[in-house]
Amino acid sequence: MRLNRIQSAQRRFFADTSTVFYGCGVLGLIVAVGLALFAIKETRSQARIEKLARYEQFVREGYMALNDLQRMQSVIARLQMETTISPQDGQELSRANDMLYVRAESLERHAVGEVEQHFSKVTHSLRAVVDLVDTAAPERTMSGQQNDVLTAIDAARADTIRLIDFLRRFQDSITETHNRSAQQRNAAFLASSLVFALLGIGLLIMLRREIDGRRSRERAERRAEFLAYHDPLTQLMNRARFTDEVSALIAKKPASTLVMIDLDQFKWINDTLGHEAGDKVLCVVADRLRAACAPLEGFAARLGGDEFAVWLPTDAPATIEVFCKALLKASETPLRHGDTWIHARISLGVAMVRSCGGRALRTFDTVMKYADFALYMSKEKGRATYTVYDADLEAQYEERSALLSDLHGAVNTGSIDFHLQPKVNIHTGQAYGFEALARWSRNGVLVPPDVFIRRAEEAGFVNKIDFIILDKAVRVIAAWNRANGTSFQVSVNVSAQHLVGTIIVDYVKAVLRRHGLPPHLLTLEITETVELNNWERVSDNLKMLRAMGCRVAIDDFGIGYSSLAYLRYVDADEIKIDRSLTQQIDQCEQSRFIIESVLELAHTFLGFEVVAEGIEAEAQAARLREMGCRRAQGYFFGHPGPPHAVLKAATEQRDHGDFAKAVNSDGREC
Amino acid sequence: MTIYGAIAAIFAAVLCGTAVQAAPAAVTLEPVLHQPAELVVEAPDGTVTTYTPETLEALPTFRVTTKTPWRLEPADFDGVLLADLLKKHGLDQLPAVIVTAENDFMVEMPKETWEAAPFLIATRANGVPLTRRNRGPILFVVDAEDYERETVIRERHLVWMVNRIHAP
Repeated sequence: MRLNRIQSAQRRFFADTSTVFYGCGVLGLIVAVGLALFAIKETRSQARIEKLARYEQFVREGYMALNDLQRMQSVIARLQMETTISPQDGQELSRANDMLYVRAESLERHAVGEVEQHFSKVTHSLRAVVDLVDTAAPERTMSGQQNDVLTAIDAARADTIRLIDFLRRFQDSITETHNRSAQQRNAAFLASSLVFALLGIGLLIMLRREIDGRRSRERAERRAEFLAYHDPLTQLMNRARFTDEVSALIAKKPASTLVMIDLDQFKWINDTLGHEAGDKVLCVVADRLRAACAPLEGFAARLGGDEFAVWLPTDAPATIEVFCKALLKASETPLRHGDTWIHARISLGVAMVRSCGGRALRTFDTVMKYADFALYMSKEKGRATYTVYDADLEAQYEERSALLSDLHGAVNTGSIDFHLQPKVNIHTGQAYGFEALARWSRNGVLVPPDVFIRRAEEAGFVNKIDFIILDKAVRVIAAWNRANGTSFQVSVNVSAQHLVGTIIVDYVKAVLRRHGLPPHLLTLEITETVELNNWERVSDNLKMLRAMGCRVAIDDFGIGYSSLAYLRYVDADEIKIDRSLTQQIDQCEQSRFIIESVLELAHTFLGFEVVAEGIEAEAQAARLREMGCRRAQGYFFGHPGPPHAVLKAATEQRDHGDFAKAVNSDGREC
Repeated sequence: MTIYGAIAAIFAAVLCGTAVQAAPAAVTLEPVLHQPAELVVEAPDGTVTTYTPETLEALPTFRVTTKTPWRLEPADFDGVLLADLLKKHGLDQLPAVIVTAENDFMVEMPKETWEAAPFLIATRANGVPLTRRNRGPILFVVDAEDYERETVIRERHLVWMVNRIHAP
């Protein structure tokens, strides 16, 4: 998208540039041709100027001719005063005549072209004077011809003046042409200088654009390069760049550390507060990482989603500890988003390069794997903490993997077993039902249920365990009830995760039908170790199960996720008060208060049974009795045990025990 | 001898890169009768020397064979060199001299003009004294090639009926 924009901008730029370029070129060509034509035309101007100069000379000669005529006239005028002509006078006359002669000869030379006629005329009239004087001179008496000469001189003068006038007019017309041409030349110079200025501006614009274009291309390239190696949101390196950098550095500087960072509950932030909040959190975390890295000369990267990583050029444990603790402390500070405060807590996994095995093993992938594992362990420890990878941790990990693998095997072969723990009438101690508890014997050693159930939940196959126990327990109880005429209830744990899917409803129906247990004898205890968001589906499924006649119980009430909020969604028949509350019943006022409230709520408003779990002493039982609790479960009333032994004991107790008392205190048959 | 001279001249011309300047050749003139005329030379110090064509020809004489603007056929012009005359009267140091003619014509001749090419103060053409009708008796002549080449020399500098040379 961005690349397309850049490309189209480049295309547009080049198209525009070439338009300007061609425009300038064509304009320049036109002006050049125009100037060349003008220059050719201007050669005529040169000729005109030469002509003008020649005419100027003609005019000068015309005046000289007038001068010569004047001389002749004055000589003759003097001669008229005298009766005889002295030799000196004769010489003067002759000289004046010679001068006229030469003048005529000079002017004759110019009698060509457009001025020929005028010059010829003047030459002719000058010659007429010369001839007259020449013919008269030998006689030395000019009296008779003097008037003729004077007339001829007047005629010649008139002709000469006409010539001069003609030449002047001719000059004027040439001058006018020349002036016009000069004006045109000026206009042409002005126009061409304007055009050249435009050309210059055009070229400058083009140059400017070229520079701008190059700059923006470089910017785009830099941006593209940045995008290729950086996360656009946080401006941190991306995974590719981080991988390259760290891969190179691991070999060069083994005394270094890789820290993996994961945001706790990022999904929750994104889902509940929106992506804007999520982005904000990511940016804040990125800033915190950057700030923490800077003094150690390390660098941070966003590997994707809410996953970050840091490389530090040190593996001094004290330094790393300070680094991690500072980061964790910083992440304690909530950040404001609108009118809510977000806690962007993080978990860290640390892998020092040198603790990741021999030189050959120290690859980016290995170190990342170890850091990732350490991070996983941090999450295991309950998040918002850091874990440094070491060999022991790895051993734990190996053990954990083996356990999970074995558990998988046990689930697939159905070798998960169950024990039963009695649920009793708190007044009589008489068992009315049992909770089926999963038991897994791994290589002859019992694995605590909270360990393997949790592993199975994390690995996503806890529902399989639920199904196995459901099937086995229902079968055993149904068979026992049939054989001994009892009507014991059985409670089976069902993970809330399990209740999101619809398969559970059909499965329960099938199990009940298969083993012939009346539905009201089956209680499904909802346990939840991870929070669920899809409560509507769970609620629907529970409604269907209750419609079938099954009972629904809320397990571990009062701790963790299991709280009053549940009651909004879940129509329960039973609430099981968590062991942590009942065990504190003597010491803790608050626990007592919660239990009393729940009992009050159950009896007065909601009409469900309350079962107190984890009764281990008579005192606790007595206290609960006082509070009005009727049902209980715990070691005080019976340990979980193999189904047949527990059922046998309960049946015997029923047969020999004080049945009537039980009925009276309970008010109904168990 | 002449062939070698010509070759040398051509070589000199080629080497110097200048056109061949037709140097006026010295010539000895037999006395002849001239039309009466005067050439008045006024030295910068005020000394006035008046020459007639005859007294002029008493100075070293040279011949230039050339056409003029008024002669279509080349003629042998004899006379003295303007440069010699100016030098003789100390006018050669001036930036210009003024030459006037009998017909009142007057022209200022800057130094460059007579230094660009030799000016001959001709008194004879083809051995015959120059008459007034031939623009004599005293006429400034420049070799036609020099005249064509040197743009500083104009037709107005080829003064005819020369009468007077003096400082501006």
